[in-house]
Amino acid sequence: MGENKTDLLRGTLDLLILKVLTLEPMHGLGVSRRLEQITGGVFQVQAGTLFPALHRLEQKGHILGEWRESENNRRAKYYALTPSGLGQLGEERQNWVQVVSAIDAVLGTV
Amino acid sequence: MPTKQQIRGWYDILFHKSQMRRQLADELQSYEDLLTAEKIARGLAPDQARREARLEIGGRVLVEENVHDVWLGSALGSLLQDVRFALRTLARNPGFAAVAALVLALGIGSATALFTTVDRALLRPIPFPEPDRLVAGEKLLRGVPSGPVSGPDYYDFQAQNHSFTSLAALVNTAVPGTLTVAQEPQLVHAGFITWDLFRTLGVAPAAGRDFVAEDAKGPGATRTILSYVLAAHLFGGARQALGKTVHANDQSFEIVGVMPRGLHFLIDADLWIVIGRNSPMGEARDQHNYTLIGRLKPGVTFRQAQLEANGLSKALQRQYPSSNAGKSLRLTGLHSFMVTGVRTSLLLLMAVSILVLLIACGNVAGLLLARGQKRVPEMAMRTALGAPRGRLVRQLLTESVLLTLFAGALGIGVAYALQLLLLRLLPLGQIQNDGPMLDGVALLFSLGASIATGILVGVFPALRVTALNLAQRLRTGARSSEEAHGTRLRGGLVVLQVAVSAVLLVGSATLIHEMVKLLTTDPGFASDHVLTGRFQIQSGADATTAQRSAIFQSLLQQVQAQPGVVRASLLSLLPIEEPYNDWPVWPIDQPRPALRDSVSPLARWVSPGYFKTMRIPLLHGRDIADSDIDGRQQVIILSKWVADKLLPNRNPIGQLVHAGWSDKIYEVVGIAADARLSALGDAPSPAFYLSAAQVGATEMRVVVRTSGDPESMIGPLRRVLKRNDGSVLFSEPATMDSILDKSLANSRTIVLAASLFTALALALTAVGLYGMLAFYVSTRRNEIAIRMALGATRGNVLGLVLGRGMGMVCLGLAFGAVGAYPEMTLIRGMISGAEALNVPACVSAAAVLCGAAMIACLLPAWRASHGGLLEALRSE
Repeated sequence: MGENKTDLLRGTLDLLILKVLTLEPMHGLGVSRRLEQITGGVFQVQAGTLFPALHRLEQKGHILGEWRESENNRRAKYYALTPSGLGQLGEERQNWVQVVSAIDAVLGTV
Repeated sequence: MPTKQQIRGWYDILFHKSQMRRQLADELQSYEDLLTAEKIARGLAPDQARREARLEIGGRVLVEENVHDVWLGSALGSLLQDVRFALRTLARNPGFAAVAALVLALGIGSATALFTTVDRALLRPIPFPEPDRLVAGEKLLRGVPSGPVSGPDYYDFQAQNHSFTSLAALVNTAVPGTLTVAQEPQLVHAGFITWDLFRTLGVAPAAGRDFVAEDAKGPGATRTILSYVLAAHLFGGARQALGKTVHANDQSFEIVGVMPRGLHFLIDADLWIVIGRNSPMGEARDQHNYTLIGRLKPGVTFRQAQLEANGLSKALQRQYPSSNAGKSLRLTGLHSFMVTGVRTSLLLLMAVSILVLLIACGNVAGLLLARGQKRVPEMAMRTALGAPRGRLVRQLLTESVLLTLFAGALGIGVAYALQLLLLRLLPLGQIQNDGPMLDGVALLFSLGASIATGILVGVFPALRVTALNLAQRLRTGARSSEEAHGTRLRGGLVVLQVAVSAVLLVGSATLIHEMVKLLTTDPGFASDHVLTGRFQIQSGADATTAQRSAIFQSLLQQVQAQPGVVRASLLSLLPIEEPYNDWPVWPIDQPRPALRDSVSPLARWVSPGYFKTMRIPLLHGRDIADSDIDGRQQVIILSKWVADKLLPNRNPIGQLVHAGWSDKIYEVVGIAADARLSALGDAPSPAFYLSAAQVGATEMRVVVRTSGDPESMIGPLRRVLKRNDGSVLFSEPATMDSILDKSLANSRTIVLAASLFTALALALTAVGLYGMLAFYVSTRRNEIAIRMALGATRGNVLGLVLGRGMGMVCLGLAFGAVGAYPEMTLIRGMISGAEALNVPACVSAAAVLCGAAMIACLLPAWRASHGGLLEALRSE
């Protein structure tokens, strides 16, 4: 079951990253900070989980990285959502809703 | 399907890994820098900020490692995952995997083995430069292909054409002769060629020089080129042979060149002698023994060359109406010319082996369908867990391709065994069969066939299993209707297999029928207990016809005196093995007929007693007698057909005829029965026989009828020849039976191969039928048990299952009958004289198929009717 649990978390993180990138292209730290900000500090993503997730999404073609100057003139790799990523976001969002409603139903009946 | 970006990513991971690592390091560095800047902005000292940033990131190496894992994982992970999962699934059901792999291995193996042969004979270019520009030319007589062209016609074509850079010719058979080197005589075969043949082909001698135009100028050839093997045998090497002289049939030849090892072209020759316009061979326009070989000029198409040849033929027809009427030149690509006669058989066998593979595919697809039905819940579960359909299809395809790859590996063994046991004996026409039995091309074909069959057998079951939506699959009630559907599909597959098998069976039965007809054909002579061989008087010892006759007669007497010899005789050319030398023959009260209108039987000269030795019945008159020698009245014995045709409505005995190319007059002294002298499959050949003592050849064939094993006479015969100071050479001993056997060897190999594949197809079909019915019974146990509980007898149940199986067989047979029709047309094109509809073959094919199907059906039917009733009812 351990594997399934990490799968679930990994999937959730992917979903969140995709969602955050719908706003605008961001670099790694930006994504991390935005997540923290939106979730009111509940999700604090460390580099050790963030970067594998970003690169996995890039490999799948859901996001695309590009080197650019940052707001304070530093070079950073900015990730942008691709059309495929947008589609993936829709699917994952739907799955998520299903899971949540399923879990709700279970919790509601027991 | 992977996107372009993904493929790009995989490519980078595989080939630009260090660059990617550098970029990752940069990215992490920039992350650290940004984090540090953020902390400085919040008021920390730079040092402090950097330290905290690093702390927050944790081990950079660890992060990098994690990302590397992602890279690797995405490239290989999903594939490896699929393969691992597939292997696990297959291993969980080793029986299924083994049966499926074995069935497919037989199919892939047969196709690979046959492909190897087809590749060797038909696909691979012939070993000459620009082989596509090489063409062969033969004579068409009133539109019918009829062998070589005449020498003068060749020289006219050669001088007048504008299509060829060079147009060479060779005499169509190798001529046997005695070659003497340092008093050591030996039998060789000489190929007679025009000076430019090797140039036209584009092969250069291994040593020395090629022929040049001057070599052909004189009245007789004086120069020769040796084959590598002969040069090595006589002189120990190619270089050593150059400049030496050899004597052949009283002529000396200077060796000017040696061809490379392994040169093999149309005829098997040990040495080549140049022929020219003045050569004694082929001076007449009605003597045909030149096969033309040309190389097309660049830019000239095959069609243009043929059109020009047609025009030149027309001109020759007008110019020489007596000899050339109806004659034209037909050009053929050299490669197809070399495989004439075997192409159809090989392609037919290739088609057969592919049908076998298809039947095997049907079986495995059926197995996969059955297994797919059992895996519906598993697929439903995986869909529920979020696996998209494409992913499941890919998973199932990985399984089937893995299975067929495994089968392909096994199939290579099968292919090797097939080649070793049978298929290397398949005729390749004039293409030499050397090289390994299976090569890289064969392995590639096997790999390709494996992957293709994997997808073919897998895709349909995979799509089916994953087709239903989640709700349907989870509802158990839907399962039985789904199973019924799947069973119907399998039934359809079985019907197809039966149909294909029926087509194959009809074909094989027809071929076997024709083969049996050949084997049981009465050749018109008794081939058992006959040893044959060649007697050749050495040059120098044969001054006159009388002397030559005396030498042969004394030899024959000594052979006759050997214990175990019933009778020995001489003749000029052996039946079946040497089916040539046709001479015109006509009554003396008629003018010499034009060649194409003449009766041209096979001409043979024989010693007295030949008809008794070979047991060819003499119908009228007398045999050649000892008194029919040079200087007496020339005598001739006609075969019955010739006598009837030539001298109808009169007693042929005592009539006078002309024969051959001279004005000699022959008296008909006897009529012999017609015998099959050319080929067992042909009608008996018209023939006439002259007295050997009146012809006086230096070379004869000996036929010895023995009381015991004819092969045991080879030794005694050799000893007799030795005692005679070696003035006569004895060579090529062979029994008459083995000669007949050899003449059928090619057809027999083809028939055997076809039968073998058909047997395989039949077995696979029976297995498929059995599997389908067994599955049907296993899913219907419940229903059958209820039926029996309600009073159905065992007979009823037996009938139910048998009826279902045989119903499919009958449907398959009906489809098969439709497919057999075009096949019969094809076979008729291959075998002259095959019947349009071979009823016994069709009936026996249907009977064999029904028998095999019955056996395959009986077992499941028996099990169904004798299964435990209560047990079946309880199991639900």
